Amino acid sequence: MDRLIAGYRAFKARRWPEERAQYAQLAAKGQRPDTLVVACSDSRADPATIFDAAPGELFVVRNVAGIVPPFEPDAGYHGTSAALAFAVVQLGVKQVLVLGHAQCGGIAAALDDSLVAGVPFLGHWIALLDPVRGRSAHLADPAERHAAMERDCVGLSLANLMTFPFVAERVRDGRLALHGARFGIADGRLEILDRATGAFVTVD
Amino acid sequence: MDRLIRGYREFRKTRWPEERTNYARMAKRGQRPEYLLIACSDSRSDPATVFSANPGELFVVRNVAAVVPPYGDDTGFYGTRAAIAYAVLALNVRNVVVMGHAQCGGVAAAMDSKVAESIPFLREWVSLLKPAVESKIPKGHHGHGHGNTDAERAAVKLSIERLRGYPFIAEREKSGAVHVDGLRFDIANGILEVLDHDTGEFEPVERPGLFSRWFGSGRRAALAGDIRAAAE
Repeated sequence: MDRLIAGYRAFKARRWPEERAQYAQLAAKGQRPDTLVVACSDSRADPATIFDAAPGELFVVRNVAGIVPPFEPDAGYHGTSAALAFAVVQLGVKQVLVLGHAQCGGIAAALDDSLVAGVPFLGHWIALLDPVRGRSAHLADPAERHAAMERDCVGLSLANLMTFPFVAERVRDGRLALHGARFGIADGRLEILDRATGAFVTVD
Repeated sequence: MDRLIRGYREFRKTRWPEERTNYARMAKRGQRPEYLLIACSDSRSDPATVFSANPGELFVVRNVAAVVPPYGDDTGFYGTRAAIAYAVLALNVRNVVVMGHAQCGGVAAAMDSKVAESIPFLREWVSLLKPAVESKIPKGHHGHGHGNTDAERAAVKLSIERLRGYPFIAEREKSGAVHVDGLRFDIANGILEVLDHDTGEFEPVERPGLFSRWFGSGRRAALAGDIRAAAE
């Protein structure tokens, strides 16, 4: 815990004095984030860091590979779906961003079964990516294939988002926008999905 | 997206030059975080911010109310459990930390079924917190109060108890390979509380100052209550 405590003290010394009024206001009034980010748990792809976010700006769900599952209205414990519903229905966020990233271990696990052996639950979770598993199979270069699958998974999560009635309804009447992006860890570049062309375009 | 792109450009300008070699190295060697942090999705309680984290340090799971589901069986698309298993077994993190926070909407929803009524999936999800919050629900009273603070702490303790029900965590905790800890971040005053495993109480990180040495922690809590009551 020492590293966390040291980091917390740095936060209290540096950011807290600048943002304390903002935190106090957020505590008194409640949060009103504009954006829900669904991102990977990976330690190298932190949304608050990449988007230089202030407190109160991003409602964040993080799971392995940054997956949005399809709408499954059973009585199961759906953590990501519950967070999505909370953000969209209760908080009224204006946009959902699905953020993938390079060198994603979850994607690697989807492409190589041996990586999920011995890790309980992971195989079941990653099976959500099955619909796009074969899409990049024609690519001979493993790195290219990996990156293509990362982009395909962002697209899949965006498609899955539209299976939630409360999302589809709000997208249709313009209250909610859906976006996809991918962060390149090695070069620090962000590429955004152009939904008209299906291509990921690097932000300059 | 404009705000996000602006923020990204700020990141490129300020943090990227400082951290680029770190990112490049991690892209090549893979991530080696020492911490798995299970936190709430709440926009006011961001772990990377509160812990001034560098890229690569924290593997982060975020869901509503920082819930750890019971280990249970190996069926269904259980994202949080998959992330916990991946962090401990594939990444070999050395610390598993659950971080709750003040004014948690998920805990409030667990305490008052009316809150979650019209939100699909939420009622089922926060029902996982029932064992922690049930005794904290004040009779005939709704809204955020001291009951919520207690429930937020109890929810962290429940998640920790459940983590210890994961065989691979129990085993590693016993051998000292993994430490499990609990925290609660108070949004209004920025105070971070740490769960004391011996007493089961949450204590603020700051060293007790002169003030609390005079009055003792019980007196301090009572006084804080008086001040709060006066303010309201």
